[in-house]
Amino acid sequence: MSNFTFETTPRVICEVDGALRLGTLCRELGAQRVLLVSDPGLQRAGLLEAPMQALRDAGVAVTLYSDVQADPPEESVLQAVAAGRDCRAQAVIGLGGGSSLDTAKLVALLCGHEQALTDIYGINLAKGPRLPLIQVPTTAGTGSEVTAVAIVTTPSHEKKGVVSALLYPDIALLDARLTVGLPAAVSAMTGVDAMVHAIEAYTSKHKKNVLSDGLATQALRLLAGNLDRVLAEPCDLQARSAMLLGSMLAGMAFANAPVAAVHALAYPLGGHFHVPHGLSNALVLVPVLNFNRSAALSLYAELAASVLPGQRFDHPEQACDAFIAFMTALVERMPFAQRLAQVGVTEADLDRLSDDAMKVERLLINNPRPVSRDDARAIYASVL
Amino acid sequence: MNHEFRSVPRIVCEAGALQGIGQVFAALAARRVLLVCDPGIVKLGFAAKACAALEAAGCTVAVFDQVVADPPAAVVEQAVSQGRAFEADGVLGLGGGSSLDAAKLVALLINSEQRLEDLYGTDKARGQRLPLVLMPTTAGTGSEVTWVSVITDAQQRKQAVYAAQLMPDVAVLDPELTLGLPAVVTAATGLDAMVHAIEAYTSRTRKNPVSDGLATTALRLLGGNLRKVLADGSDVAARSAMLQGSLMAGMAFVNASVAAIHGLAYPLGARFHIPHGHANALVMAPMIRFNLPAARQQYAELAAHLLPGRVFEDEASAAQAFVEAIEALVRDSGLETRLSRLGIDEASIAAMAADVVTGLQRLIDSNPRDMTEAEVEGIYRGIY
Repeated sequence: MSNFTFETTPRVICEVDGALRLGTLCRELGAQRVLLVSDPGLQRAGLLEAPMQALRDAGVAVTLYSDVQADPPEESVLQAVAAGRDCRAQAVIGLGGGSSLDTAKLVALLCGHEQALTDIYGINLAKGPRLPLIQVPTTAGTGSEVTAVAIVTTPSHEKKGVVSALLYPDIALLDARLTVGLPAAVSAMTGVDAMVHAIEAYTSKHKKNVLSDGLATQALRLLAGNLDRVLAEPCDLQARSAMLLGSMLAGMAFANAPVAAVHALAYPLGGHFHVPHGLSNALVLVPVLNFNRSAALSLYAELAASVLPGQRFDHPEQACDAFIAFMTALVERMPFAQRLAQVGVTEADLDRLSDDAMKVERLLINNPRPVSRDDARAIYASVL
Repeated sequence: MNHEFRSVPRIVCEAGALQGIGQVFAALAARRVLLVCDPGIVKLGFAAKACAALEAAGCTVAVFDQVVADPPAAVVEQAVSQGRAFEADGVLGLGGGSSLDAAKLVALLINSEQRLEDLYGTDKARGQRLPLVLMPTTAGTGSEVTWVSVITDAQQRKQAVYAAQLMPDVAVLDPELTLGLPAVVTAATGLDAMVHAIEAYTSRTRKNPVSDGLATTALRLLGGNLRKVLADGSDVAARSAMLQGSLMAGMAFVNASVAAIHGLAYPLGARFHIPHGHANALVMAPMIRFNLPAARQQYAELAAHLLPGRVFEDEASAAQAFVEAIEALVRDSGLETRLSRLGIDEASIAAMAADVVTGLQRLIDSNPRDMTEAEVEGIYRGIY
């Protein structure tokens, strides 16, 4: 019997230049004063002007908070919350990468119902209602626009998560125009990150279900079919839209069928060496796939149909190997670091990394094959 | 490339979920629940079970058990009156498509100043509805995940209400509720769900990558389990898969549209009261054969999901195998397949064809192949 619960964002709009409709959408949600949460890079790039003008044109007063930092520290989140309270925001728009969207979630939550951020780290401790929330991702991506988690860095440099169904936004808006200027390395890292979401959701040990499976395979098909194209043709709006959709679908999948060892092994790389999240995942992806092969053979074989559509395989072993070979070749041709040594890791760090990876037990339990500390160390060593 | 996708924010799939329905309403902060169902649901004991579960969670319940097939407007209005008198703050729809469609409208109207007839059409509803949970007892209409309700007005016309507010807060699938379905109902509703998946996948108007992923997964589940539930109605795993497939097909078609199979089915329901699922089953095989020249590639793609593991020489043979598999499923379903044996007089065929091309052109617009009135007539004559 396959019992499961599936939760997601109730409304997704995929539309080139959709950000110019933000004013109308805010009015639909009953808001005349909004806080726009974004980061300094997007402001410098001039990407915020047109959406803000569109909001004003619709008669919506918009206040900008553009100081979101990567891996948002508590203090930065609380500043954004204060900005929301000061302007008496009736709705929140997150526009940016995963950090902006995570910050926007918490602003909507804490402005909607006064509570201490430190009281709600954990699962379902947050109280509603939150303010109406629209999420506009500018990478493809984290999938944060369709997940119920926000990650914060505490003053003691710990990562803490708020997990609550209240964090699903009212609307996720996918506007490919906002992603055409992404540097190739960022497109590549975030694209591989999204593929990892789809793969790990599909092989997730406990909560995998038919809905997450259907979304994950479709996500992988879109991502595998368009990642090379956005690197070759950064302004191809159709390919950029497909990447945003793929990332969103992968997010819907892993929000309900959680990720596993790739993410568990990636986290210590971010924590100790400040490797961007997508790159951390990409670095350990291939050795984890090879490690999982024996336990996930039939699942990887099924995923071969998504990344190599139309190709015929005589037996599951062949399909599984074709899938792993496809992912290996894809990662190898990406314009980013391929070895841990390139991001500053040395042999001497491997023990500490392995110890920390073992602490991410909440994700390791989702892996199709149990991972011991020695396994983790061997995986790191293989890509040093 | 541009499209909008809506989803029910929470889906629960669990054998025995009816016993947990009280917690579902508690989470929605509803304390006075109006149960909307039909007399059959009372007779089966499901209504009593729902009441007990709600009361155990501290809710007060009122039961409206007078829903009938193709619910008349007056029935919906009666339920609304009862809900108002009871001061309901939540609505549970439990039953087939008619009960769910009625429950959606009741939740919308109880606190509204609008009249039912004000809602006919698209996006006419204003304001918020009451918390709403839908539990289908057939697999199915997919009504638990769509924003459409169809009722019959005082002039015996079908009227559709399309409104975002009709999407429930939670869709709950409990396969135990479908174990006792008679074979003819299982067959008709199962084929109906397959039509939803197929027409969504071949829709000329709003087909999109999200609906495609849902439609293919739905077809895989429905095609793989319909014969199983017809052979053994008490197979819980297969019943569960049918409910899941029906739900995913519902998500697909409401975001992509259905097409001419539904167009040709409607007059059979309106003029001769053929149940909706059976009406679709009657026309689906000849319509799919008719569409083949225009939908060859898509039917070939669907063959991989309806007939997984089968290897095809080329696209044409895959598409042909798909058409034949559908014909065999309809033939083996046990449903009557000739109009003449269902009390339909041959003289009505011309009038039904006229109904389709005059009143239901939007469904032909979504069909992979255009249809003239003569071609519609030809389909009806072929199955007379």
